[in-house]
Parts: sequence; structure tokens; C-alpha cells
Amino acid sequence: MSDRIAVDPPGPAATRVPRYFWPVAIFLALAALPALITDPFVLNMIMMSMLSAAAALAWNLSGGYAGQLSLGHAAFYGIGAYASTLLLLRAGISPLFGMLVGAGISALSAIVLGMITLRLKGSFFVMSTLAFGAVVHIGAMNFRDLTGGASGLAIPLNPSVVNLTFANKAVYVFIALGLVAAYYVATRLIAGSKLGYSLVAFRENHDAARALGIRTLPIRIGIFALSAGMTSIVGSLHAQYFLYIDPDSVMSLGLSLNFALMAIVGGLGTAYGPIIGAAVVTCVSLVMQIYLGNQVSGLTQLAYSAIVIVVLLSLPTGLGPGLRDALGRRFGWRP
Amino acid sequence: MATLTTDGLTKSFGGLRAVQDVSFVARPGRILSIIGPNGAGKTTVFNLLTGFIAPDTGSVRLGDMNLAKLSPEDRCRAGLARTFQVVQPFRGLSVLDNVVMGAMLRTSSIAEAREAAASVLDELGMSRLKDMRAGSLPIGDRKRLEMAKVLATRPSVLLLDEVMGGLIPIEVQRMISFIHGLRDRGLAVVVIEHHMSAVMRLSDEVLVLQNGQPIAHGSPQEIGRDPKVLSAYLGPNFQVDGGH
Repeated sequence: MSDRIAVDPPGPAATRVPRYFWPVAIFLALAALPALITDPFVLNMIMMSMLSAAAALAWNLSGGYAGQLSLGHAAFYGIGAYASTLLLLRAGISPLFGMLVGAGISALSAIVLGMITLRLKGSFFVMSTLAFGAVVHIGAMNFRDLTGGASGLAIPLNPSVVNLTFANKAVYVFIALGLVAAYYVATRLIAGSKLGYSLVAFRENHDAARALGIRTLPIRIGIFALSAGMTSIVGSLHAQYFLYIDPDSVMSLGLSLNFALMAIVGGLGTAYGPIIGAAVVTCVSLVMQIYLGNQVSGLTQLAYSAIVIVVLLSLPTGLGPGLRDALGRRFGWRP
Repeated sequence: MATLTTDGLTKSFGGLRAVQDVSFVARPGRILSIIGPNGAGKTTVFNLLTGFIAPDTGSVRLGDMNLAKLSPEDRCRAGLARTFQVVQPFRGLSVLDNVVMGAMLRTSSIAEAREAAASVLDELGMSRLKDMRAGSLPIGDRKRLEMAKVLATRPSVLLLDEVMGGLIPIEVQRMISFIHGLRDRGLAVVVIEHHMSAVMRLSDEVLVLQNGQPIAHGSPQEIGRDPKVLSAYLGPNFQVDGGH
């Protein structure tokens, strides 16, 4: 496990530029994109990358830093999407508030789940998160009166800030970008704190962490809950962007696998890795759907899997750290 | 600085009596060595003391505090710290970050923990290694890193499980002086060691275990003359090294 994780030095980096120079520059450049790009396909691709990046960042806090590999995070994403949507449709409550309710429900579910399952080791914990994801998915399918079952829920287009609904799709991109920036900063702050160090200690060697007086269980449950709540907020934003949700689009196993995959491909346990992983994975899969989607059926998935395998074999710590090392070796430049 | 007292510590694994009725007192400013053949139960005693294994009967106290209900992490917080015989570095992290993990116990600021960690590494003469990945260190340095991590938690009682295994003679001598330095600072030190001449030079008292039971307890000189010990462990030809 730990061989797959690049260690992001959480302390002050030995660079000549200020600590947040590169992240700020890149985010500003990205923020200019929605103003310059009007092509709906590209705009949608950027939006999907941002939603994925936020979810992957949230997943990475628990899955990457603490090494708690969850394959049930789509359940939290779905809880967020359904909580804000149902509150809006049934009670006319603003999604701005609804997404916080969803985050609260997700965090509480994560605490209960974590208290039971985080005592389990390795693959047993993974299995329990798989089961949790399946239970929530099946539940949403079957409680038709509440969730609309497989036919899903549609949100009427009533553009306003309170409804978090906008006719211009570029506005969503700005919101999603803001969320990614916030999650990135949160990750950096946690990684450089005692909490982040303690999680890494647990991930690297549980007994050694305990022998150094690090109380791991409460912080592991805490980071799992935080990760769940953050994932949930992304789910609410997903619902507002598409104005339609169903169990398969917001809480499927495939979605859970994608969160994990994007963080792993980009670089587990780093703040920038999940963003790079999400952008690459999302863009590759959307572009391939266009060029390969009408050819042989299943070719998209095959090509997609092949790319993932090649990346993982050639850059075992992920694209982010791999590129960083390559830049360092080639040009002596480590951003 | 606190005294560690154990009384009647006993532990069986299935039908095997791994540790039977072990009692001793580790006092501040004293070095107690636990010796015995392989499988005598030495490391099990450490696991019982630090709470990684629960004893069947017997008690462990640190000062006035009964440790029975405390987890390993809480025992470390109370001031009882150990190293592992099979070293347990955080392999993917730098040497400095490994020690920071220990130093965090006594401060909430990572910056302060880094300073504390750097000064512990300095004491152990490991400053030049601080940016190396712990997993890439040779065994001697890993043993010292194990010590550095634990010292960074600022323990009052220190349990050292074969920290001299794999060290070359000059390193053994340095480690002995270092542990004497810790004793002189007032720490209570309990050592498990196979390196016999090191035990004789290092210890103030020695406890000998065989098949989980204490068979002798005394000064290094007394132990070196005890016929039971000689036949059980040291072999008939062992001579007490007169302090060199």
C-alpha cells in the first residue's frame, strides 16, 4: 500500500517562490477559462473535471492520507444530491442550506459506519464500505415514494441564486472551481497539521503510531466523516448542475470506483494529485466516448482501462508526483 | 520521573506459559536489563508492559497510576515508551518526519515538533540523515532512528528492545554511553539485550528469564557468577568482563 503513496512533504517546501504561488496561478488561469470558452462540450468537460476533482480531493483525505480505502463514497455523494433536491422539491428549502443538511447526514452516517468498521483492517474495511454503498443505492432504488426510484427526480429550472440554479452553465464552473480551491486549501492545511501527520503515521505503520502515543481511532473516524461531508456537498452541486438525479448517476459503484481511481491515478496522499487525476480521467473518458463511442461497443471502457493500467505501471505513485519528479530531473524545477 | 512497578505478570498463549510471575521495579536513574535465551518471554514482557498484549494476571504501575485499563497510546502519553525489536519505521517518510511523529505528543505545533525532532536527531548524531527516507537506512541507523522516535515523546520510563542488534562494536560503545547519559538524566531504563558484554557494561541490575520464569535477579557481577544463569544462558565458559 505505502509504496503506492507519494509522500508530499507537508512542511514548508524548499522553493524560491512563495508557498501558494503555483496553486494560485493555476487556479486563476482556470478561472479565466469559462469566460473564454463558449463551446458547451468543452465547458461541460471542465465542469465534470471540477466536480470529479472536488470529490477526489474529499475522498483522498480519508483514502489517501489515512489509507482508508473506501469504495462506498458514492453513497455520500448520493445522500448530498438527494438531500438538497428533496428539501428543495418538497419543502422549497434553498439547496444552499440543503447541501449543508446533506453534508450533516453524510458525516453522521460516516461516524456511525466508521465506529463499527474502522476497527477492521485493510480489505475488511474496504468490503464494509462496498456493502454500505450497495445498501444506500438499493435503498434509493426502492423507496420510490421518497426518491422516485429508478426514474429519478427532476429539478425545475427556476434560475436564482437562492435556488442555486443558473441558466448560464459557466456560473456552475466558477462555483465548482471555488469548491475545488477550498478543498485544496483544506487538504494543504490538514496535511501540514498534527492531524495530517497523525493520519500518515497510522497509514504508514499502525503499531508504531500507537507506540508513539498517537490516538488513531478518533481521528480516523473524524477524517472519514469530514471526507463524507465534503463528498456530499459535491453531490448536491452535481444535482443542481444537471437538474436531474437518479440512483445510478449519483450513487453507483462505478462512481465510488472513479473517486478512488482518480485519486490513485493522480497521486494518493498529495493535495494536487486528485485534481490532476480527475482532470485526466474525466477528459480522457469524455473524449473517448465521442471518438470511440460509436464504433465497437465496449471499446471506450477497454481503452480507458488500458490507459489507467499503463499510468499505474509506469508511474506507481501517480501522475502528479511522477511529473513532478520528471520536471525535477530534467530541468531541476520542482513546482 | 516515575518508577515502573510490575507484580506477578503472567501470560499464556494456549498451553504455552510465555511469561510466568514476573515482578520487578524500574527506578529513575537505573538501568535494568532483561536477558534470557531466545523464546524466554522477554519481548512478551515488553508487550505486556506497554499494553499491546493484556496479561492474564499481574499488574503494571507507573508511579501511583495503575496502567491496566490504558491502551498502548495512552501508556506512551503517560510516559512509558518502547522501541520494537523488529524496527518499525514509517518507511515512506523522511528520518526527520519519523521523529516528528514522536515529538508531536508534547506540542500541538508542527513547527515546534520539527525543532524538537531535529534536536533529538542531533543528540543521536543523526542530523545529516534527516532528509533521507527511513526505508532506505541501513539497519544500524534504523535502530538509532527507532530510539530517536521514542525519545522525542519525552518518556520517563524507556523500554529498549535489542537496540544494539546489528551494530558494529564502536557503535555499541556509543550506544552504551548514550544510554548511560539517559540514565544520568533520571530516566528509568529497561533493556532487552542479547549482546552479553554490552549488558555487563550497561546495566545496574539484571533480570534473567528462562521459559518465561525469572531464575535470577541481581547486579551484573552476581548474575555472571550465578551457576543457574551460567548453565541456562551464558554457557560454562563465560567470564565476567571486568567493566571494560
